[in-house]
Amino acid sequence: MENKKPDICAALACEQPKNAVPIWELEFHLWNCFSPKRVILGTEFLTLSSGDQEKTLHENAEIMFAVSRELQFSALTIPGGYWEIAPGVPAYYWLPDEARIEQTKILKRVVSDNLMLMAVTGGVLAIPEANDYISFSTKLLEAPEEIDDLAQRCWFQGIEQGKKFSDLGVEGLITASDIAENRGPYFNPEQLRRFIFPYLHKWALEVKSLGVFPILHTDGNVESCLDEIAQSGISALQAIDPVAGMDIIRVKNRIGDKVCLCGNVDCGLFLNGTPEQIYKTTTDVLQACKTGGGFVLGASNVIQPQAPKENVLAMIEAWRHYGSYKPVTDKRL
Amino acid sequence: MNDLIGQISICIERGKVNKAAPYPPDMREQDGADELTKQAIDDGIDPNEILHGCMMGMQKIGEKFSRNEAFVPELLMSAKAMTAVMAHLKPFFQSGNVKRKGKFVIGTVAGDLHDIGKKLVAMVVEGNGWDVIDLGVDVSADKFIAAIDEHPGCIVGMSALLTTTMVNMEKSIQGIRAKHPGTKVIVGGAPLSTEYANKIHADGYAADPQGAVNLLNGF
Repeated sequence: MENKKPDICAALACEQPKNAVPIWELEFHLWNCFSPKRVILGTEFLTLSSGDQEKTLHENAEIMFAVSRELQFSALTIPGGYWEIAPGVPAYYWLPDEARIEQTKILKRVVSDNLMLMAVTGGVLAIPEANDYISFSTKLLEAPEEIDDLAQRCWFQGIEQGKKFSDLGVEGLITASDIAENRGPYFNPEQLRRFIFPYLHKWALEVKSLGVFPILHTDGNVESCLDEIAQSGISALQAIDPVAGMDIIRVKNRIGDKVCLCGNVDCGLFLNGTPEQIYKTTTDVLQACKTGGGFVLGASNVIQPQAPKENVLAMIEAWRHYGSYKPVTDKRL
Repeated sequence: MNDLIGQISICIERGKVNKAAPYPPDMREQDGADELTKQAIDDGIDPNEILHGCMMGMQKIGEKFSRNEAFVPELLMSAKAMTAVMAHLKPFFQSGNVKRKGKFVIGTVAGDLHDIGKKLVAMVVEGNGWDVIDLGVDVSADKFIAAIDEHPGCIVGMSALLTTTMVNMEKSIQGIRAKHPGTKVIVGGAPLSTEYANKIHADGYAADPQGAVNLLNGF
């Protein structure tokens, strides 16, 4: 199998990869659609005995690696820590802290240097969860010094987590910090300057000092703060949310020489669209973004487990036709 | 317009809840929506006028929000100031001395537990003179229908944040139309669009809270 890691290393460094546009999903939830065995995570994992948990972590790693190879991924994001998509409702793609560490060690042994491992470790504040947003928003305006403390703690914890995963061989760290919604930033410009960008900057510097790529994931429309994002020192921006009106060509023209762009095939289209639509959208994105490198192909956000596998295959098929950098007559990968 | 009403309107627009509130900094130590509304009622000002001032303030902040000149935290502070006014006006609503524009039933659709966008819309719509019945999150078609049974003539608002749950809007709209064919339904939420709203036969799509107000006022 061709080692795809050099390609994603080049892209994240804003250079043109030697072979092809790398593919990476922020979180991939369709492992079980492409494998006769099952990846077991989250609440189901918790129900297993300790012996079965250990066995499962090994099986998970084998499945993830095999599917990543089949789908031509250059990197894979290890399962995250516990979080809730709504009060009391855990997200699918998580493992308890100790198991997460163990899963990372096993994955590193399994994938070796063939794939890059990514981990969401945080570092920068985001729009708060449903239960907290009124109190958080009130503090932003009435007690900003409390938000200063929160931002500092978030940064510190992100760095501590980042170091832990860097030591395990993870080479891309993600702060999943949604700072915007469809209309634009959640925070006003003064709040962005005080609570977000200084921390993003020092997080990026610290992560780079570990020899790791710092990646910002944010949903929403961040067009008004692209310059600040580019100046923050991050290696890559993930999402470029098309539903929020983010035009990846415009983003590429504005900051594509400083920040690698990761995305942005509409994740909703994977769920509700047809393979033909995915093929066309992926082709358009590739043709618009691959020139000069600094681009990683993937969905704009998590492809939901209910999405048909044919849509994922359609993205890969478009990549086979249009993802190559090789100067040959038949460029099909 | 009465000076007191003008001040209430400014408090709503700026998010000045009460005298003790430190925000906004340039209005520190000044009376807020709470004190000014009490004073207005004590002075015998028609509560309908107070509500009108409230609506003007809420409309201004809503429009600023639509133009990206105001942000979610500021909108929430305005909603808090509006809530302070509404607490004083509640007896007048109950006695029928103050009339609302109509009833608006809102909820996040089945399977979806996201609250922020829906709540923002509910608060801004209420501040614009509507009686809002917030059904909360994970609202089934049956629950929407039961609310329409209870509040005949209401307009329904549905919210969804996930691509996996927005499909439940269509089922809810079909259920509502089967029992209450004349009921207007508007939809909103991050993954939605006008095209999707048309596809599922909604009566309107709003991209933000003020958009919802404009739709409601236009029916």
